[in-house]
Amino acid sequence: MIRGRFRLGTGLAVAMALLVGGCQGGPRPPENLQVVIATGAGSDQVVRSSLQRLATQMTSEFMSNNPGTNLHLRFLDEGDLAASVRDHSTLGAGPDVVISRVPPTARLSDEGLIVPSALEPEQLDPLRIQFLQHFRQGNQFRALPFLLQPSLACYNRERLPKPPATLVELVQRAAEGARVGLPLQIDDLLWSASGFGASRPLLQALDEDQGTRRPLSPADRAKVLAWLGWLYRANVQPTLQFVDTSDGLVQRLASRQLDWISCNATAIPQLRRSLGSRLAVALLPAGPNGEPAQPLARLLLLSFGRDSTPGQRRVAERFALFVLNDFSQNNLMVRAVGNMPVNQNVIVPVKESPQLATMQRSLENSIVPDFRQGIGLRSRTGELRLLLKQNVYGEQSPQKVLEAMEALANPTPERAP
Amino acid sequence: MTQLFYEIGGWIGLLGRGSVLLQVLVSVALLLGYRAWRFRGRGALFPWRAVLAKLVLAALLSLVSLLLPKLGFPGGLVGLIGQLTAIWTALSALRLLLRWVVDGEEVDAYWQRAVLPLFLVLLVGGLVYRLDGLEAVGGVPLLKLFDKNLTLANLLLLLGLPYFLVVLSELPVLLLGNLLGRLIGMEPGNRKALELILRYLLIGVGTIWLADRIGLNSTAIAAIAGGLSVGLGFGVKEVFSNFVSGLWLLFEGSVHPGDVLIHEGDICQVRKLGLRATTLWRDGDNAELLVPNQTFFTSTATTYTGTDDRRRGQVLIGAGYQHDPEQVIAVLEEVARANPRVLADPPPKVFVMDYGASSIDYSLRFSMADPMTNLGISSELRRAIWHAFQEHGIEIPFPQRVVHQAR
Repeated sequence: MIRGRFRLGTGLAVAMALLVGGCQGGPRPPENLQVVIATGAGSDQVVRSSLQRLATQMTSEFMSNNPGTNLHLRFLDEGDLAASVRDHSTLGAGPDVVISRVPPTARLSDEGLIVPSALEPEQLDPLRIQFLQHFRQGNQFRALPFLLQPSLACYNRERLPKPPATLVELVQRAAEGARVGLPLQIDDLLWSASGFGASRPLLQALDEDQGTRRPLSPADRAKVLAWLGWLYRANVQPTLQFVDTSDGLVQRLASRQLDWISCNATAIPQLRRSLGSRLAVALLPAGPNGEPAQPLARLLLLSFGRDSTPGQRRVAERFALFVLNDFSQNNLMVRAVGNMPVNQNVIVPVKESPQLATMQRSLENSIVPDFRQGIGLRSRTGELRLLLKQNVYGEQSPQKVLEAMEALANPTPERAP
Repeated sequence: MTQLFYEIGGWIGLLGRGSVLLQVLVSVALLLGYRAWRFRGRGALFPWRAVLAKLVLAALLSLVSLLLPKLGFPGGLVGLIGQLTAIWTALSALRLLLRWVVDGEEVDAYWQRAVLPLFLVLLVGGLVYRLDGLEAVGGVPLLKLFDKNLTLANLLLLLGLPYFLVVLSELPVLLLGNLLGRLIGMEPGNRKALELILRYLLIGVGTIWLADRIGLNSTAIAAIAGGLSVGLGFGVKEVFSNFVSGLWLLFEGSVHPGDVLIHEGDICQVRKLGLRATTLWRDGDNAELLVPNQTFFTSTATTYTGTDDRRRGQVLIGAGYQHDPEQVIAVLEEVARANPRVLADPPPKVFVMDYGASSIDYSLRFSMADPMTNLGISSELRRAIWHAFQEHGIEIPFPQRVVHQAR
């Protein structure tokens, strides 16, 4: 009886080994890859649906070009990404490829849940990937830039024939009756601070890295105060409203409750379905003195999991090269509207497409986050949203809000002179 | 379906990872080792020793899951199997504890019906949840139903939920009924009725939720309800009638489990009152009869346990003409009083029934506490009467015929 059980056990082990390893003479078993895609933060349905569409397109194209590879997609909320990858990694079942925005990828990298790319410079150099150096670690890259998602102004051209070019014009249009929406999410509102020269000082003051964190100087404080003051005054206009999330803004423009909003380019397909040809996009308004808006662009990164077999890692790298090559990047730009290529070989048809031209021009002025810049800002989104809300509703003076922001940026007692 | 196989293919792909395979092999080796040790030449272990052995196995699996990361390997899968083993051990211990306080057979039956299937769901669900996420696998579309995709999760709900609704609703409803019975002093019959109604309500609500979950819209539900109405009118009329009769009987309290009644001339005891039929036990041949509830509703029923449980029996006996009836009556009453199973109150009585062809016929009437014991007591009394008549020289005559022959 016992012998029978052991024979059964041995048989099972041999069968499993054959199943897993495959026979030398037989056909090779398919290489299965787990691809995890973090779909936006919280309830950002717009980004989520855009990413899902995009991911399905690119994986099916890759599999049709690489028979014998199966890519299994798993979509997660950005907030759940680290916990999920950590949990799967304790089983040895961590993902082979992770596609997510910069902040969550930075967290995965800090926890050692992803490993640097082993792709050689001769494989990456021909692709001329923008912002690649942001993620360099010695001779390797902690993650690879994948797609850029610029920030824009989206508006209903039926209600607003010409978009406001400056923040002054924006408030003026609101005073004339245009329904304007602005987000209270700091990373999506930072473009308005850039008009006052306050965005970079804020980014530096809120830097996670104490080594590079720089307290606000008196000049910086004056710029931030000017921006906070403008936000407060803007909210006095009854037709200008602040909304908690960018997703909420998109929904309101789509349902024609608003005429103008600041938006991410990934919202274009959804808005196009609702507004049709009435939808127009433009650059975000410049500052009062004409300084161009510098929005914080969204950058999608592609990184590699730590649990892959050598075979899975090879396929994962092949997949990375595939989605970064000229053809795929061009294809993604055209088919996944709202996404811009990081591959500089791809020529953006700015003459043929005013929409792409606007996106391209927005990117030229954008601040692109790396594993340091912008992380602190995003990790304090909740607290900063509350402060901004208190500012725009006049519950706290701009001076008090500024002090609270500084305290948030630097919990230690020391302050800028 | 293709997508489901595709997902499963992804899990098999994970086995190609050395770290996952190592954990699977270590876990399988420990489980097989446990089985081999447990059954090596000693048969089954005593229940509590088996629980202890499982606990050791769970601890060993957890220990290995902690050791593997120290050696540079992930150990979460072994830990997960350890956790599941620990849950199984806790359930086994609970089962043994329950067997102390509740009837063992009932515990075993509930275990087989409810706990084992639930643990199986937990086992599979736990593995899928940790490997791939229930949402990802459950959302795999399998086929179209009423213009909606029937997902794997919905199919499993469709197959499993009715079973679990029926099985699992039993215990909470029983506990609730018991609680209500104690709190407001509800009659056992009414309590039973309330339990049954609550149970069917729970099953009904669960079924409607399931229909909504799998995408049956209100029009489809209305169509099914319409069909059911026609069905009630024709095919399942009797079932429905018995269902209503059963509820009525429960509320009225005219028939309870334990009642003794006459059914088709036989004395029977009510074993179970179901919603469609009542189960009777016939002592004569130890048979169980399933009598549709409607029977008690539409025909006269004779019960011995309506207002009290006493039953009156009688033994008919003949004594010779030469014996004084007073003497015979005294002997018979004495015999009845001497039987411990014959009630003293009301006292046994003897009646002269008739002057027969060859004997004076008497009827000994007596009362008993348990209506089901009539046959046994009657037999005892008949034996005792024979002995008493022998003792007192009383003859039990038999019919005689004098034949005259003509010359």
